[in-house]
Amino acid sequence: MNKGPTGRHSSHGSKDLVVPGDVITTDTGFMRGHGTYLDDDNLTASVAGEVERVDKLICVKPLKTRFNGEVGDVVVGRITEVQQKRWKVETNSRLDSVLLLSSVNLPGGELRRRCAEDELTMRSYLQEGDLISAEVQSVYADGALLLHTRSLKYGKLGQGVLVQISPSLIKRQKTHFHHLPCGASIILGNNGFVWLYPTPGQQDEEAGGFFTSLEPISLSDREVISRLRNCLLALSAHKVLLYDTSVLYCYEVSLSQQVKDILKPEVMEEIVMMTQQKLVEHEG
Amino acid sequence: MATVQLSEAEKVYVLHGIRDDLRVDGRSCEDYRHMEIETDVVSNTDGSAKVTLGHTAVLVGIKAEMGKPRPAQPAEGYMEFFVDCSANATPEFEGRGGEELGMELTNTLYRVFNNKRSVDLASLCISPGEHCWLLYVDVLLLQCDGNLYDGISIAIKAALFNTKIPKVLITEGEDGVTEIELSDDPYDCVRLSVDNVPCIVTLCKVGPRHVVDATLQEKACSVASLIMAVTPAGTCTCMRKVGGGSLDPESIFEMTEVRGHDPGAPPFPVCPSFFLLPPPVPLSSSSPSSSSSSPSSFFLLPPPLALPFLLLLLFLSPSSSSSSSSFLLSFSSSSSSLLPPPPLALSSLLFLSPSSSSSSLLSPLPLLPLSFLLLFLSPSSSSSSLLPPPPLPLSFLLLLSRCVDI
Repeated sequence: MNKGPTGRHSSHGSKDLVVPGDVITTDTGFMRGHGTYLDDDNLTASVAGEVERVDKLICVKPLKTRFNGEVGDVVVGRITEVQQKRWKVETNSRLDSVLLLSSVNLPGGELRRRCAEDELTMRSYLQEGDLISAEVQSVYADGALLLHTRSLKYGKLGQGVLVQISPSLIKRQKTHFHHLPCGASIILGNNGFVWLYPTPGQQDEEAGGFFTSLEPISLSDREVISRLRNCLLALSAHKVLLYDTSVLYCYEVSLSQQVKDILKPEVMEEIVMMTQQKLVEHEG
Repeated sequence: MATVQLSEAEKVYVLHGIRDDLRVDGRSCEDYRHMEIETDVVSNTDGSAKVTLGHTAVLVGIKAEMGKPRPAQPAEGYMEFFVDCSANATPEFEGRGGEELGMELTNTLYRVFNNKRSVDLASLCISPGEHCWLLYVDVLLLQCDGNLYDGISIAIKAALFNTKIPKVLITEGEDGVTEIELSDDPYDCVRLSVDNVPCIVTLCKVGPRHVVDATLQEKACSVASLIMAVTPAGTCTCMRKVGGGSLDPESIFEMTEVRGHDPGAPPFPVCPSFFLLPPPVPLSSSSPSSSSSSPSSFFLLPPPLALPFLLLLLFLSPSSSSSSSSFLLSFSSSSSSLLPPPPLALSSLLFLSPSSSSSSLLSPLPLLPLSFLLLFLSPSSSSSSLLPPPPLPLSFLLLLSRCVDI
């Protein structure tokens, strides 16, 4: 039994979960990190989460929190303001993220210095309420994120469905853009915003940028997207980690039910249990 | 009401989805979200209920107090409503932000209950002109995810059902002073009858169609909604239009037709559940002479009873191509779906298409058994329904009259 700095027995490799008020350690040699406070020489947790220890620094990583972005994260955000040479984007973080005019691709793909006219026509590119997918370029000192859409896979999003879930349920992966075999595509934003949309045809792949098609989507695609949306909500209600495989298994398991029944509590439980079983079977 | 921002493309997606009768969460235009109703949740009230409709949560508490009746109605008690939009529901309700919406909801509730039959106010009277029960109905919005009116009305109905008003004993004391005694026994109380309490249905017009139980997203795509309060008997106590857009009178009529299928208001008398017919009579060529005069006689029978008669006559009607199709007809009351079963439409199509050719009446007949099969075997034989498909007997009358008519 190893009585580590957490004050409770911890075998090698297991997580130490604490709740607010739990004493992490009574040893005064440690530095306080985020999520902790000193209470009469006892280092106590102030949030519910996992204890992380790096040498002499102890911090608690909370389970439910706003999105804390890091460089390279893929986010899906909604434009809230159009300002002078930049857009403010809501990404479920503590502060609105910033998207500079110089960080977006101009329509047509031309590379040039932005002029005054570009500034005046910003609203024709991105308006308030528009959804974009972007990448975090850097983090400001106050914690605000600087985004960019400097790649053809990022940009304004067209028709589809946005699902908002907790950022801690999104698994960090190599790629967050997936074309699911069931017939829809998904963008799992690190900030908890998941975007479901019909898989674009061959010619639409290169369009990128700011052209959005307003053609009606076929009924079969819509059903797939609605089912995926309900599966995502079911998985997030039961705190299952979301990544392409878990979403796909949940979709397959839910095929026996009607789309609208997935959100009923008893059906939800059943589906999530079967998904978890399948995940354990296939991935150990 | 709380609002969400949507991009143009998202709105188009929602619009097209509703047009195709498949909403974002997979519901059809006339489906409600999962609803949970709990009563007796607040202990220090006389009646309370909490309703969760999707993510909308409403808490209602009713307190009964003794007071003086209104001068205009001395032999009745009355109800006072108050809706509080809590800041927990959405940040827009912070401070005084929720007051306007609260006032609007309160005024609507007053209008809905402002009639003699919703709640029996005469039963709330203790002694005319002097004492009566006042019911203070307090509504608290805990979470706001669209469709507040429906949730509030259901919660009020549940809370009224749960209300226990203590029994009152009036005695004439000395000097003619009336004394009022409340019984001490907590179980000795009067319950209110909620048979006529109306439920509110909100119909949001999105594009060319209307939806029931709209989420905030769908609300953002709609321009106008119609709010109707209906009682189980089918009477409408209040009708309001909200929203900035305009509604064509045609679309209002269309919306009110839909209303007939919602669970709170079966407008047709509830037919007893159907029964199992005996194994079929094969189609024979010998026909009773009465069958030729059949069309007129159908209309005299009341619709539910006409059904077995219609079927018997169908079997016995003249047909040279006597395909003795033996099949078992089993009536099963449909599950509590809000729409009439889809196969009905299918069978109607089957019926109506051949009947246009007036040449031979025999051609529709073989189709009839098939459609019967489709019609009756597909609805699942589940629990008793509140609402058997009402148009069923009527359409059979019409359709069979076409086919059998010579």
